[in-house]
Amino acid sequence: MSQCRIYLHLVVTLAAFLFIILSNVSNVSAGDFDFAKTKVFMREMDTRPDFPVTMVLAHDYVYSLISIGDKVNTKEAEAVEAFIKTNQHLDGGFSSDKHDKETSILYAVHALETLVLIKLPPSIDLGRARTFITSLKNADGGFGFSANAKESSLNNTYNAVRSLSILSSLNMVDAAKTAAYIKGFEHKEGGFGYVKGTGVASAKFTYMALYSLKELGKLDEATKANALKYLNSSAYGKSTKEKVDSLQMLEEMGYTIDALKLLGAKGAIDTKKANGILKQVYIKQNGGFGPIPGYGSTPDSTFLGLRLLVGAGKLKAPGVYSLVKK
Amino acid sequence: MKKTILRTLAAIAATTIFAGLAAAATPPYAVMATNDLGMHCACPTFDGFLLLPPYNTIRVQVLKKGSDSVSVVSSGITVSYSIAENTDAILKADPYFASWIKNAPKLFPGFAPVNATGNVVGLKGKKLADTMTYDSQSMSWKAEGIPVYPVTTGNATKDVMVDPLGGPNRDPFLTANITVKNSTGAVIGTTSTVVPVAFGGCCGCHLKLAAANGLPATPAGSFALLGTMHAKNSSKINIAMIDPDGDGVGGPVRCSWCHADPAMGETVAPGWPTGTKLLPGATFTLKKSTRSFSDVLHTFHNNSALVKSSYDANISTNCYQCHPGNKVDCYRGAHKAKTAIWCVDCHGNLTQRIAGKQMVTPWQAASLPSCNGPSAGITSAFTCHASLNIPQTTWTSTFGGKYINGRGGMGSKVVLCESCHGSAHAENPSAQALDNVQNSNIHTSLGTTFPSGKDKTYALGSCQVCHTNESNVWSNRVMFGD
Repeated sequence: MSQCRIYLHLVVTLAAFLFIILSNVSNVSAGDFDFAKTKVFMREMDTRPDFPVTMVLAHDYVYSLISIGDKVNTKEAEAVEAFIKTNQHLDGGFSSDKHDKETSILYAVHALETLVLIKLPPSIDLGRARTFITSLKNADGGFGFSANAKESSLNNTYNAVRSLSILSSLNMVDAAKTAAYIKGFEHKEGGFGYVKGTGVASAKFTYMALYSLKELGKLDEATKANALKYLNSSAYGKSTKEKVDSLQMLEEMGYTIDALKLLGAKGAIDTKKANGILKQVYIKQNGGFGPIPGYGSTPDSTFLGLRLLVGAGKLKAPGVYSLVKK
Repeated sequence: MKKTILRTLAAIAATTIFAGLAAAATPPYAVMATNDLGMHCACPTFDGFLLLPPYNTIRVQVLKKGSDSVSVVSSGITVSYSIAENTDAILKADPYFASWIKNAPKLFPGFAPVNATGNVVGLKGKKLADTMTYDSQSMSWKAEGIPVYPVTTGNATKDVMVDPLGGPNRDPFLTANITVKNSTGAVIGTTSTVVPVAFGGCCGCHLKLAAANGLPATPAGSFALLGTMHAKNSSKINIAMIDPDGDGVGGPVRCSWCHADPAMGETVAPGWPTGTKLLPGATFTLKKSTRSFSDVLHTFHNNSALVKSSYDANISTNCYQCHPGNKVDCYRGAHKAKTAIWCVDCHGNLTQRIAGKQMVTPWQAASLPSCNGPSAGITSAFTCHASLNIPQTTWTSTFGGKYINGRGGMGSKVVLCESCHGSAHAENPSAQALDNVQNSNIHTSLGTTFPSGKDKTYALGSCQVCHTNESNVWSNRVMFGD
């Protein structure tokens, strides 16, 4: 019995040892970054009298702090909530800040995602938010940006699907029609781009298309296979030896990981490349991340860096993703 | 490689020698040099279009010290500068600058970027090493339009700027070494100042945009796409189909031909050169716009759904998306180094700037912040130096606000604000150590003592910078006479 126990201990110890070794060899390591500095960098925002300044920064602030294990204090959470409420307009939509009078789907999705993260009972008008989002629906199945910029696009459609998902209102979308619109952006060589019928695919638009199709229940095997082919063969993929050079973006690497996770292809994530990019864009002086190597940190790109670490499973994913119970 | 090392060593040696001279040549002159703006823009190619030319301006004040009175030396001396990292040979061999040399005569008809003796010259005729001319308004010796360009020095600590086209990093913080000689040719003062010039972030989005639209991810592909995008506005003009030199290829096009740019000294759009053709298939006619270049450029980007949703959701606040930023640090002065103040706190965010019609008169006092407050119509989140009754005199110009075009001090107000406080956007103490070298040298040479929390990198704050028999203790009231 005791021999069995010793044997078991040896096996467990050996397995743990191998796990640690393998983790350090190939995986993205959160230990390469000083999150105490990151916290100070992001918290510069809440020292400002006009905190949180803009809708995007409010989102980046909340997501970043939570992902590194910091707490969004009640005072800041309430300030964020009040800011979002102030920037909801009569049509139910949201603007970037108090100076911006144009409501759009872009700031609606940022507002809703932020509200999910701070976990305060939302005081915004959810009904009017739904009305605003559905008002942007076009006959082609896509969604426009705003009342003034009505033209459908893939990213506007993603933002609409994401927003309605948070509001548990995807039943307000004509799933077949919207899915057909999204599929129009698929490239025959794989992936999705933001221009129909020409140009190159990107991880960002591939993720947006996959997410939307999945939420709408229209993500088929052929589309998944085609997307996986693209993601694997891009500069950020595991199966290509193409060097991710200085001009490649942190954002694309993050979306590649998110898309592969969504496809259930975690094994295809190139953690070595991801770690390489993260190390190149990490600014050790202030703990932030820059958008590309050689550039300094911004709150926006710091959020992207942390989201990548969340995607790679090295930081905890903040929040749950629904504002309204289904 | 050897040449690069030699050039670097020469630059270091020059800087060291000049710094040494500055320390040794304390009396009887004070010499302060600054770049006017704190950062100038450059582009890696000029084949398609020109946003701004290589154009850097240095101002040097030479003050004759006295016990009570101080005099500005406006004649009887020779003030000269030399750019340490740029030489004629280096710039001619640089493929990016060669694009400027090739296209500049087309963009500015009548202008030769290389003169008869083979020197690279700027739009105002200034060489990379040249003499300066006294300007009575700023009471400084001025060299305007020096064709400074970021280069690869081989020094990794200096080459911090990423090349958006994938080439080696470049140095955006170049050095101008200043020498002042009297009428007999004897050196009576020296100093050095940062001459900043950097690429913006435009290529970061526009190359991707070209690729997304099926065009090569190159400046040429981007120019072709910009042409079709421009044709979608009310002008219907496809800028990529304008052929000024008649070679059958679109470009080079100078944006300010149709959209006046006060940064180029223009109050109205000058129009395109005589003989400009349109490529076959063009269906538009050329016409000038009543809107400034700054106005159309900022308004389009801030109001574009495509820009916001695909490239930067926070563009109205993210100035560095386009302006030289991040590690290059256009904005690096005391306001940034010591506080959480952002660009938008002084200038307003893009939405505010457009609503306030700042870009109708860009680059001018009417639309720029001052020490007393943010730009007109902007409510800053921070308190400016509003209660400070600064003894200052200012003048209006097509370029610059009250800080750049301002002199202060007791009595006749002869000292440029920038001479003591540093270049706009790089005020002392700057987060970029190079910006603090001049003040550090001057304070050190005088043996100035500092109160707690201040040091030699701060704005010039010793009376002895100009006065021989006054206090040598640093004070932020030094120009108030109390």
